[in-house]
Amino acid sequence: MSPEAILELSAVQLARAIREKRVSCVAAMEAAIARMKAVHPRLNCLIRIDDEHALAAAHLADKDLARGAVRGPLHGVPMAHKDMYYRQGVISTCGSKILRERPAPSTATVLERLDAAGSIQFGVLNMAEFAFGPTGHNWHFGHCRNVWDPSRITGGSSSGSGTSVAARANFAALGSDTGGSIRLPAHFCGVAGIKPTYGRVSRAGAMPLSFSLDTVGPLARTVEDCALLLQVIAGPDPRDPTCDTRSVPDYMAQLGRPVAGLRIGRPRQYFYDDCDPEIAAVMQASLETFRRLGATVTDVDLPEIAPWNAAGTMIIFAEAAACHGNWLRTRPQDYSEQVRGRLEQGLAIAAASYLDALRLRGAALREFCEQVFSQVDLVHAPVVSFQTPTIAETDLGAGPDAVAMLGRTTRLTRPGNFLGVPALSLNAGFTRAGMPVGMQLMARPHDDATALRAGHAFQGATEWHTRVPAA
Amino acid sequence: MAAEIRPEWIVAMLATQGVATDAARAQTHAALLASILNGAAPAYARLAFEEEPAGYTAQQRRNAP
Repeated sequence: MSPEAILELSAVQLARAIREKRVSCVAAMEAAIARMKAVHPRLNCLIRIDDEHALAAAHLADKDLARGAVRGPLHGVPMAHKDMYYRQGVISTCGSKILRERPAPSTATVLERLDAAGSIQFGVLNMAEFAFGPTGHNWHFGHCRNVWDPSRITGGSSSGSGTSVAARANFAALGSDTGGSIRLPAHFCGVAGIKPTYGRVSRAGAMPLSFSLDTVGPLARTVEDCALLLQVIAGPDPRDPTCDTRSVPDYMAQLGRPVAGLRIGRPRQYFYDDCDPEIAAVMQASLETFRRLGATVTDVDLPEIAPWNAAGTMIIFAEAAACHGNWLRTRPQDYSEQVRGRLEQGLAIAAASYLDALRLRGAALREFCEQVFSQVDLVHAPVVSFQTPTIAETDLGAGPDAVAMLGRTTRLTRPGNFLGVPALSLNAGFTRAGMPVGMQLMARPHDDATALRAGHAFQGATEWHTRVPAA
Repeated sequence: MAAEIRPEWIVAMLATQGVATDAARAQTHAALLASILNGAAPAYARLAFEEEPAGYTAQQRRNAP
């Protein structure tokens, strides 16, 4: 199989081709490394490539396969991840100047699980500084660029994950989502990404931003790939006390279940406020697809969301400020202006206000489940309400205009984090300007499988996810 | 009543934590903090006396399929 043909495969397809010995691990790795090196100058998606180590690992994986040893469901699949997942002794920059030289203290559980499943990591990807930015800007490593139009933002904070997967330079990537950081790059770059239920995936060995809201999840070309990666990385972990102890459902098996009869809710409030008409039209068309698949689509009334977003902002800012307090005191000049400003805001949040925000989460989840998930299985909504801006338009520093722009960017994703529910983002179409438009599917806590099932059925009925950006 | 936050309070509060900020940044911080405090206030006002952060985990379990 040619390198070009290999790079057209999804992670699931590549894993199968490797198991069936139609593609060698080395050929897959060489193709991914070559593509990554080719696209990086245009996209600035990479922080480090470990090509020698990765090729040596691919040779070993081929040897294992030759003697009949399949390590796991991702045997030989090359991946590069957001540079915030630690490998003991190796530098994880977290997109920052501050951690540019610090060897990581431990190895992330999610990397251990991907390693055990046979995946081979070949590099680490650009990201927002300390994952604290939703646009893809990074003032230390350079701004990440959208493969569909390099003058436009990728979304963040998992910026390199989104654009490298869309560019077919990476078969799948870990991202993280505290306020939208998986779903936003999935939307802007036209790939799939799932923010799992809070606590479903271990955060051990992952850079903390906001320990009450941080989630770890995959970005990939297909929902099926997301399901497989989530299958591999999810599950209890004694190293993360917030990790849920329940067993992991068979997400892959559940993908095959029909969506006929699923109840999908279209929010009457909040999510369509000031929504760009082209984005609203894409959402409407995607709901029609679900109807054709046999799902029931109904309008649903939501509780009042805006106060939850304000409370969620308090949680992120206060917890991030707590994590960064020492460096804010000793190395403030080593932060970008924007991240430093946001962290300072967290230091000024009163303890009682922060605790009220945490107290509100349970009440909010109860209200949302009683009012919404009693009527529907999934909430369908846009990921953002505006067309993809340019990098220059959103390079606003730390002043009031930046605050407004950042709040607007995460306005539709933060509710999912505050509630801690699973939320899948996948491409639902394109604007006339040729930029992808994503939808998000939110499910009740620990019902990640239903969101994945619906997204997989959508991709089976449409071809948006098969569109490839121009070389 | 909408909360007002004065930039000089922010400067003082950060200084007590060993962090220096300037007047322009403090102005932005004050505006954002007033916005989120006022935004969350209606929901905070409805919180039950007994509500606590662990209530979230309980609700997550209760509402799982």
